Amino acid sequence: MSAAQPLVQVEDIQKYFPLTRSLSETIRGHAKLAIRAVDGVSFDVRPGETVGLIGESGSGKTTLGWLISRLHEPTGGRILFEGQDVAHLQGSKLRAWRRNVQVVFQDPVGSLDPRMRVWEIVSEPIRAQEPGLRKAELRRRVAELLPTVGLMPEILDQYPHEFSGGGRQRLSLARALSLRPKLIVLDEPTSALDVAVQAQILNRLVALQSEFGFAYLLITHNVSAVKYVADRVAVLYLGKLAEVGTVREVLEHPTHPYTKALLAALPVPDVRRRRARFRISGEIPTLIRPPPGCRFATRCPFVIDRCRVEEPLLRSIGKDPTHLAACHRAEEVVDIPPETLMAMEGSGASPSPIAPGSHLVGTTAA
Amino acid sequence: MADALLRIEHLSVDYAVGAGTFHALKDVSLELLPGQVVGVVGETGCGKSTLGHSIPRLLPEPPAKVKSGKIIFEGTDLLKIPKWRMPGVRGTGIGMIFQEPINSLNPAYRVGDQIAESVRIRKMRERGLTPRVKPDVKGFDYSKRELPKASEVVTGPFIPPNVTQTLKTRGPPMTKEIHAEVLDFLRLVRINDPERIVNLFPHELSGGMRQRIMIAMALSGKPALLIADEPTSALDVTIQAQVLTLMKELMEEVRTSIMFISHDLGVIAEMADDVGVMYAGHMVEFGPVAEIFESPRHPYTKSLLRSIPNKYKDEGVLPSLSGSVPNLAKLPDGCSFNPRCPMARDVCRKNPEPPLAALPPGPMGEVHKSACFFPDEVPSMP
Repeated sequence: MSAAQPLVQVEDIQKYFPLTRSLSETIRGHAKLAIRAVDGVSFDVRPGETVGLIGESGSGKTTLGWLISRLHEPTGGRILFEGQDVAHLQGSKLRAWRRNVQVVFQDPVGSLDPRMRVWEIVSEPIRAQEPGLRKAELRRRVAELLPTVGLMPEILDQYPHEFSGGGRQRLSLARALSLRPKLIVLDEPTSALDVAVQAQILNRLVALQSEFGFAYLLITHNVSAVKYVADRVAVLYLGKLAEVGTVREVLEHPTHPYTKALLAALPVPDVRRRRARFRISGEIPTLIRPPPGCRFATRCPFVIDRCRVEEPLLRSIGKDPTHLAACHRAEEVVDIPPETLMAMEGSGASPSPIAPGSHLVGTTAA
Repeated sequence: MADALLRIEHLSVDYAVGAGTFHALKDVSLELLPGQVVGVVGETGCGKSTLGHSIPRLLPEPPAKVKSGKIIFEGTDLLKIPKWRMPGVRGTGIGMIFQEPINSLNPAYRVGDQIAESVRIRKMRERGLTPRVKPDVKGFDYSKRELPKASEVVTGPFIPPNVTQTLKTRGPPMTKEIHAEVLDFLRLVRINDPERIVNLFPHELSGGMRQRIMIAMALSGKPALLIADEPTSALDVTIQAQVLTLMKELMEEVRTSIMFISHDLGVIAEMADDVGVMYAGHMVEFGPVAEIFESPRHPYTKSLLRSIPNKYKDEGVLPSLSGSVPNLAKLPDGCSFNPRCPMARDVCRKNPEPPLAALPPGPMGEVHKSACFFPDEVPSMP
């Protein structure tokens, strides 16, 4: 597996969104601040595999997906796609490269133009890449494509509002498939759907992958979807990777305290397991002035002084060399199952949750 | 059984809109004992929220119309009392937590003032006073499929806006007593530093904090019944876990009964004592939480439980429920679940909708009801 060249290789990628300063703040010399949405992330996606990216909202999952599909330009770092650095491609080169990566967005209502018919929506990538095709040819291609996502070819002339959430998400998937890309970025593809429909879409995703062999980057907070679709999992916290490994390793032997906390917080439809749950106190801190040292230190039950000063690096833990975690105390905590964490809840956590707006108060007062 | 806090009997609600009449609730019955949590679960469009909103009579009428049934809360039928008396029940009798805290908090008022309003109203009621209620603005009946004439639109009397009042971002001044009580409620929902938080606006808080403010606001009316409509669906799992644990702790401290509406089976398993499963406006199964999750007796419940992904992809396809919830304006003949049911046969298509009937009681005498013609075959469903 290691011999195969990765399809996408992300190296120390960063994306900072600068905050605007008022004129008076500029004159008074306040520092330029930025939201560090993605702050030095490295990982790779191999051809034909699925990498699941999990984390809370605000952890930078979506930004990372947008960087890899080049909907954002990174502030720093490299994105190697089949060996070529695409991080700063522009103009016609970027447009030509786009056929390799397609995106399925989260919101099944907002991502489809309500004034376009189905054939127009699904053929839009083809029209962008191969201009000059005749309408009949486009309709023929779309009609061939629709059954692969479980839709009838008769719907070519319908509008998106005529479909349910699951149907719209299938249209979005058909649009992403239309160019036979090498990588599909799935940004929360099922979070707007009911469980029954979610299972249909997940089955379809897995079947399509084994048929066409493209790679997926599945961005979601839904751990059960990741469990079913992914080969490998990356856990993101505050713009940095906390843990990477194969799906079985990460879900069955979580090492990083954050991964443990995330798994323990999942509501499980099992009445015998209720109450045996751990919750991490506090909320995700702001990304403007991330805490020094380990970013999880403010909420971690195992925090020691070293965590607050020195930033942990991703390193191999345990027997499996591909299982990486960024924790100073990984060896000590690796054997603690998520369930027993509840006894030690929040010993080191900062009691005051930081409201997202509070940085603004800080900027002007500082 | 007479001392149920809330008893809904054969409630039916229709929405009459231009496209037809949608039967959002049909013959729904439910009972909630004091100190209990009843969970309501189902897919989108099954009538869960309509049920939740119909109890404090918050449905927009029209287009909604209660066709029949009774909602007996603390011995009175809420559907019989005049609408102008309903505000007297809301807040202190029935509290409500909505799904989107950002849409349910007033962006122009500080959160402390919003909680204070609820506290103040409760205090007035405790002294036997009735707060003044704004004139009711009558909506237009869209089922007529015609635009209203100017003369038909009935609005309340014109009240000149009080400019000084609208420009202020503070409610009436808080007395020391009310202020202290607001801080107490913020501490109750585990908000640290309440002295700072009372002066913040909703947009300055995170989603989890806003939902806690909503819970504090609902609890500050000290309601006997709390209706929580998807209270954690907009939150992250770690924050959801915090809010759920908080609600459980509060139930023991404040002794409120909760009606917990959610599409998430995991959350329902965690919170509820009794569970009602809704499908296409019908209550298809009702029983204790352990029974529903471990031996479901309706094919819909069973399919729903099975479709939760819980395996790796090399372990085979996920069992999934084909099709989607039927259009509530044209329900299929017979049992409304029959087009998606793996056990459906001719009986299910020809006979009218099966009623929610009690199964033989279990060893502990628990009541388990199922609206299926063949509840005994469900355990061996393919």
